[in-house]
Amino acid sequence: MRSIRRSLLGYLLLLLAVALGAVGVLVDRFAKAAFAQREEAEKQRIAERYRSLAATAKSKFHEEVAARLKTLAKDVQWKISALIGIQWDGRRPLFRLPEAPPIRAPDEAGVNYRLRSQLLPHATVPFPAATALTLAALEPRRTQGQGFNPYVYPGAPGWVAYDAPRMIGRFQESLRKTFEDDEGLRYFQISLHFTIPMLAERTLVHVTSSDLPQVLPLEADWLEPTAAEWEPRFDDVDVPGQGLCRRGIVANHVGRGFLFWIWLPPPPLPMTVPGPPYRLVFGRPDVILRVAIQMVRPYSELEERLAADQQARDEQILHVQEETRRELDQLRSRLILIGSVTFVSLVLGGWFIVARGLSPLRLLSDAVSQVSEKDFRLPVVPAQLSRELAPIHARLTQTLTLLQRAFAREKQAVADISHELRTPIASLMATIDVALRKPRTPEQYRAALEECRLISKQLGQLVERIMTLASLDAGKDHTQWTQVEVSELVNGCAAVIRPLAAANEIAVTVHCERPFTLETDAGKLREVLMNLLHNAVEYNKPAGRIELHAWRDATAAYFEVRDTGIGIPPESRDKIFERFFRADSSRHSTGVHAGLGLSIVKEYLARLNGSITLDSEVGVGTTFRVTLPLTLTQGPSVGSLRPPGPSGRVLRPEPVGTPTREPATDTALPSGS
Amino acid sequence: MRVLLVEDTQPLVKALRQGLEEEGFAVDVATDGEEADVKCRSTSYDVVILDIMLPKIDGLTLLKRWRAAGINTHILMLTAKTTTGDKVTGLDAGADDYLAKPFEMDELFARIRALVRRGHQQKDPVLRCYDLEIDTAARTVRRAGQVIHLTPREYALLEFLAFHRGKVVTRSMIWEHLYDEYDENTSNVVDVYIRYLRNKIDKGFDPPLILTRWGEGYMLRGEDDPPPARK
Repeated sequence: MRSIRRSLLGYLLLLLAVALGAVGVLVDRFAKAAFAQREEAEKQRIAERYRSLAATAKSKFHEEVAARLKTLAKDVQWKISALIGIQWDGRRPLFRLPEAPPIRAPDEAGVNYRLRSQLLPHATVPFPAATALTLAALEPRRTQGQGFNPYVYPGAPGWVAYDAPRMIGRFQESLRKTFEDDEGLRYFQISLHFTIPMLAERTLVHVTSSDLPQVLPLEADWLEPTAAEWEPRFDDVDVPGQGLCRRGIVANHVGRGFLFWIWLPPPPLPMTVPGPPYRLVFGRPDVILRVAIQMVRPYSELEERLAADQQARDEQILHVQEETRRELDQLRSRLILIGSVTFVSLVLGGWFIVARGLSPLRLLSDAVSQVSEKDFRLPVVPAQLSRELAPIHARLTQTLTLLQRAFAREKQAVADISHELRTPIASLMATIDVALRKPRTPEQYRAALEECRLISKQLGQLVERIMTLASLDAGKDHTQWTQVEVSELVNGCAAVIRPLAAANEIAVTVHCERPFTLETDAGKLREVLMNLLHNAVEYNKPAGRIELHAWRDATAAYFEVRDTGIGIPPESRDKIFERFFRADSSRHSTGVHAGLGLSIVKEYLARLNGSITLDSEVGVGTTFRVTLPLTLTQGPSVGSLRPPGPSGRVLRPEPVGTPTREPATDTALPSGS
Repeated sequence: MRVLLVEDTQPLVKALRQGLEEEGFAVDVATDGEEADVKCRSTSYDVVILDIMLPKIDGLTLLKRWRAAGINTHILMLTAKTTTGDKVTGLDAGADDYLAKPFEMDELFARIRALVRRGHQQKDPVLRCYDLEIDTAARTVRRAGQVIHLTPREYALLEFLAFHRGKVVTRSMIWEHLYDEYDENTSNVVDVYIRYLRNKIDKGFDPPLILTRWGEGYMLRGEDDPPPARK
């Protein structure tokens, strides 16, 4: 059986658990979203800071590359200037020479070169002589008489022929010595591009720092003169072994036409040249040098530099994530704690509240459980209960009152019946006991047996009547409506009662003026009349009279039984229809009624829709009047009209064989004999 | 012993009366409350057998009235009311015993005898006087170990004398307790029965137990009575 308290609490807790769960999930979700947003923002902030840091670092890196490039470029510039021996800033050539002739494919053995040399107006400078023109000529400090012997036709512009291949080697050697050995310089490459127009040759040599594994690629257009000489250009280049690197390049031409002083040795020809032995000659070198300086720097250095920042960034992000997770976990554990505390407190509180709410019910339940067959009162007043229970209380009280009455009636009826049955049984046993106490004559035995038979007969009749009432109570009895000839029935009853009356010297007279019929149950009506007549005989005085009247008017039929008996005192008039009541129980002339006759009469009349009244004077006589309605010919069914019996159901509804059998068999025997 | 039977059921009255008389009781019958009241107040019964459901006045009311009036007669309720509550009510109203219908005749007799004994402060069912033994349960009499056969009336007389041992009982007392209302009171019937009893009890035994107090009545010899003077 389910407990209200438990189920209520269960539902409450279920509801609570669902609500708490929903709230918890929602809070958790919102918190998670908020935390995630915050975390994302934080991450972005960190990333942004790192990006700006990285950008700063990168620009600084680039600047450093540019600065180094610039420094190197200056150094190279200086070096080349030193090598060539002219003040050369590259930007402002002293004057501009015609463009170098287009370089054609070199012809054999410098034929073209020779040809052009031969075209010179003043002198033909043989090619081997050109070897005399050494680079020393370009080194003012070293030009003092040291093998500087350019053959230039005096006074005429012409080519300055260098010993180009040698010069290339010298340049390369010098630059290498100067820069490659410099420990402080790294990741550079100086490319020297020599164009020897006379020979239609181009030579590209590189001076590359040792930490660069190979020659850096150089785009062709950098070797061509452009407008923006010495303008550094930057790009990223992939250097094998170094990864992606930042590269800065500056490029410029060296060796366009320039003026220089040439010591003129005395010509081998017999001609005299006045003036100083040297003169400023505008020369056109036979070598055009283009320098491209590259400075690279691997990004790995930047990355190395940024690695700490990156690590810091990652650590910060991790920290933020960790922090977020920790806070989320904390929030969740708090939620769980709050939920658990709420749940537990509500379990306890709910238990208490439900118990408190159910206390009126328990009060009622306790009160009901105290009700017993001994005490039908409900030991609780409605004021102690809740308003909802008031109808139950009222109904229960009402039911209990009814039950108590029924119980009392039943108890009384059982007591009455047992009493009524015990007395004849006691008589029977006493008679038999006495007879058996000692040997007796056959006549004495016979007398005892007859006594026993008499008692048994009375006992049987008593049982029969009790059964009849029980059957009526059980509703087993059915009324059979037929047309009854009243005068016949009345005379029949009188004829049956007359012998018994005669034994008591009582005269019976019948008055039935006009014969009429009545729709009723003949058996029941006969039983009613016989019971009344029987009572009239039983309670009559010796030599009394009994009058039986029957008549009708427009609405009803009337039967009246008048006797000249002892009468019924007024205080008993209400009780005589109760079971087991006897006006004077000392009358045992028949001894079979046991106070049941008028009860049966009343029950039968209830089924016939009739009524009974009585008029009595103590010591003079009693008149019972039965009224049966004529109009209600088809009476409603028995069950619906039957009023609750005055006594509870006293016996199990054992069907009586013929509950409406002729009452004559019950009463006609002169039992008083 | 004289018994008043108050009972309204005729067959039961008939049987009880016969049985009681055959047991040696003198039986008066009252069939309703009023009659019982009159008889009980006018006669000193040893035991009243009282029904409750009675015409006119019910048994319990009677009982209470009698007790209130100081009538201490032993009263045995004999009724069809069998519940414990009924028994308690009856006993509390002053009844000495309570027997429910239907009942065993032997039990009724035993209870009546017990009441009679109680009336004479006698617990032992065997009454003794010198060498005379009266077994009130078996209704047998022995003297000196020898069984003496008595008629019921003789036995009742002896028992009455034995209950009043050492005390004089008058003829009217004997009459009142041994004869019912229908017996004719002839002057010498008690003397006649005393003579019968003497013939059976005292003849051939010594000392004689039934003494005559001249002008008063009879008595059974008590312990402190002087032995009869030998003549």
